[in-house]
Amino acid sequence: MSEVKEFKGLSKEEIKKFEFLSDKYADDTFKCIRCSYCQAKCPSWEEFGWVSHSARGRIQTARGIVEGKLRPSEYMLRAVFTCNMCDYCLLKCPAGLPTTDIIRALKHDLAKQGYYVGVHKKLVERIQKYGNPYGEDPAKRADWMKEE
Amino acid sequence: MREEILRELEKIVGEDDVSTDPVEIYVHSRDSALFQGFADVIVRPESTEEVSQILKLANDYKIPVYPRGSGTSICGGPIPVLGGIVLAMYKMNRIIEFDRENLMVTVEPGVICDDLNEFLAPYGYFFPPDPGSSNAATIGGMVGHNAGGMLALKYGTTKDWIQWLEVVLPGGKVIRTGSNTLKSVSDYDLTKLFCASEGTLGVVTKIGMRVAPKPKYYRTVLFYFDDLRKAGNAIVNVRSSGVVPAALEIIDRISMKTAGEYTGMDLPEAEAMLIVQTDGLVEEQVQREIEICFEAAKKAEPIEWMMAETEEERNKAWAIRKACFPALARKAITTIIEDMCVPITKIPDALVEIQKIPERVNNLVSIGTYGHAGDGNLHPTFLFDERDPEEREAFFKATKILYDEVVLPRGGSITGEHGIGIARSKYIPKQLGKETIELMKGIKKVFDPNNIMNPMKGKPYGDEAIIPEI
Repeated sequence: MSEVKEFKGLSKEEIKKFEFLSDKYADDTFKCIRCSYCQAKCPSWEEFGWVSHSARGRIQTARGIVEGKLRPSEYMLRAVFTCNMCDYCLLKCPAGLPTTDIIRALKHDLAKQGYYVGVHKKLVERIQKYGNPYGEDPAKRADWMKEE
Repeated sequence: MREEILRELEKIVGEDDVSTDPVEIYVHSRDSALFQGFADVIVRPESTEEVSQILKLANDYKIPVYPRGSGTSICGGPIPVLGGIVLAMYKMNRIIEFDRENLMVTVEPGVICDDLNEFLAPYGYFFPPDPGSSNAATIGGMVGHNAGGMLALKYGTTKDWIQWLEVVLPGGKVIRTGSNTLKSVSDYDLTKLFCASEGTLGVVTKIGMRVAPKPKYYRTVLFYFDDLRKAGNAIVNVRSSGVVPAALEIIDRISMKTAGEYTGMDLPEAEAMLIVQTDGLVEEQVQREIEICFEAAKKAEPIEWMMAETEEERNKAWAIRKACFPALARKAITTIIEDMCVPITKIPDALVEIQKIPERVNNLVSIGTYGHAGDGNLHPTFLFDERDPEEREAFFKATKILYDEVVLPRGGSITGEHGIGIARSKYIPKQLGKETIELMKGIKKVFDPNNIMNPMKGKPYGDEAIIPEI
């Protein structure tokens, strides 16, 4: 259900924590000309139908963080992490922006600060605990082989 | 926005199609222009009935409504400057009917131009208006701004292909304009009134359009000139040759140089380049027409020319024109395309004056110009860094020089195909006069007495519209 939410961005100190994004790609987020060429056939746009869940939306979200107008939220995580990094936007961008690199940087900086979606959290826990993302006992790794 | 209104919106379209999340609000706060405004809520209707209920609710509570397609506008057209509802037409994207015998297609406003043409191609037809953004622009947005493009010289703009519209008015009433028939003078031509109304009168929910047989043959010729005035003479010669070319495009020195670097093509040193193209269904006719254009342009003494004999050569010629915008866009942080028209005889003079503008603002902006020479519609493209207050101010000063000193004194128009939006509001009275503004205000009041439809956009208000300083 929709709610009226407070529209609050990040402080300068908080923006600095998005180090990858603000060091390498801040200019690029401003260079986005918002032409929507990257949006029209973006797979996650076609699936979800919200601009936030499209390439254009993600580049704009990155700009929103860099200029201190947006802060991480559950909704933002869903919008950013549903990008499957297919590079469609990279091929379409007339301004020649490294679109997937910007999105990757955004994912990286969010995850580094502990903002990641539930399923990723599970994967990390399993890798830390079992050394694999499936949560399987490493001792049983060779069980699939038939005995000679 | 009051909670009860949000709940009402959710009742109309369903919870999944209403968003108040700051991220969603933020990504709907801009188009390609320099302005920004924040809505209270983004709503995705799926039918005329839903749009009708939303507009009734909005009208009852006097809440601003901003229809939005792909947000490819470059004049601040869909920016929610006073808060309220962004009516995102994404889900109304169906091609409803193709009546092949009557050459008519009926679509919803969210259909993307290229998708429509992809649908029509196997039948041998196309929808001719071709804005540069056709791979993203929606038909609804094209109607709202009366989009044109490179083919407008021969095929006209969007309004020339629209037969009828279904429109929801503020208050929820659904009306239909025009007719299925090629001829009809039953109404005040409300169809054309809604074309280019920029969402200030109502919400278009269905569009009945004509389509044209897709040309089978193309011929293209390229000319280079060492003098802008010679290029201007060539444009006039071609236009008065008796042939209407499908496209007649001009590129100035700066754009040509940048596009040459971008494409890796070795282009001659020249002040301007012209591209002329003819098209049609009969090969001999298309060939004869390009020969007539060629002879006409040659009289203006080009320094070089190239007749594209093969499809590869034709694509190469167009690659330069198509590279103008992306090549310029890579040169700066901020790229803003302007949209001016002058009578074709004034094009060379206007281009000379445009090239002088950067010096007038201490070279804080640079400008490359290209455009549709055949109809006098040029797109000076301004490059600067919007984050630098001095450069930002220089940009606004430069556009003022463009419209006040280049376009209007030459009897031109402040916009050919991009619209007024926020960007060009203040120049309307200078072009049309206060009386015309008063008349437009009156028209607006008839359709939208509570002023809920895309408020504070220039068309009905001119310089009285608020330009947000963001």
